[in-house]
Amino acid sequence: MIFVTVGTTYSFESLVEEIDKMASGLNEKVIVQNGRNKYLPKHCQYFDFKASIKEFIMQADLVITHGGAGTCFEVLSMRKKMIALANPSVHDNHQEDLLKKLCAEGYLVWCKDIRELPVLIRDRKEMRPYQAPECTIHERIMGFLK
Amino acid sequence: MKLLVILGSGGLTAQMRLLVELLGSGNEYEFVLNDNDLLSAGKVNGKIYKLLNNRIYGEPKLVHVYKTVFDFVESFKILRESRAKAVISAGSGITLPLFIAAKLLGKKTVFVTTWCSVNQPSMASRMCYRFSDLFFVQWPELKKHYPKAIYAGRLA
Repeated sequence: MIFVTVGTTYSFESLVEEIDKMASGLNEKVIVQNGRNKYLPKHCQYFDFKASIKEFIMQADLVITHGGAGTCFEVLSMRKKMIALANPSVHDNHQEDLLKKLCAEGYLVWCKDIRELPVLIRDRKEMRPYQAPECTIHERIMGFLK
Repeated sequence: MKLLVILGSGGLTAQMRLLVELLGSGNEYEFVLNDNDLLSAGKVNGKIYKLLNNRIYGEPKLVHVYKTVFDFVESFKILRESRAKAVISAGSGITLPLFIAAKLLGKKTVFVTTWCSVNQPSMASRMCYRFSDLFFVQWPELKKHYPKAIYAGRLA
């Protein structure tokens, strides 16, 4: 199963339109988290929001996602194959910055041009497992406030 | 101790939830949300306060300014009612008025720059830096923009 997610904050119509075009030609189930998109897919199952998308990531063989950090980190922590795209509706390029960094470190496949998507889906490369840098933010906060 | 945590759209709420989990159940948590946030309330346990979302993309700048001033006045009411020791945020727009009010009331302020800022500081972090008692970056590259920032790993 391929799970496609566009997040909750911005619409990302072009990704879902493209996936919808490809869906019937792909020999597997496609489920789309469609968020705020006005475009509704005709060839794949979809929903707008769920309290958690963990179960869909868990069941997927491949996750195709917008460049939202939270989603990317969630998918990385679940060790799933991922293709990520920066959302052009986001009004600065912080998504690109993040994807460029994570791609350069070998953690995910960054699709820079939506026309590359069919080939990337076909190839679905497995990237190196992500290790989060140790977090001591909470310890510093408690130490400071006590 | 009691902590007032500021939530925001999508990833900002996700980060604050992770931080609250790490900070642990020994503290009491209350939360401040944007008035138009329909999703965050269901994801946290604790009293909820609301402020006008002063960063809605497409609204005129004058509206942003008006809402920020309104939120600043409301922030005093929230902070007095909450009596939290500190305010923690990853940087939604309502952070600035709350942080300034918190400093005027002698509370502590903790800012964690969002995990999606790798090289470029967000507008919220630029505005809230001088009002933050403790300021974290989640990517070491960002330290060059913020001399007093601490890099202590990343929430994910």
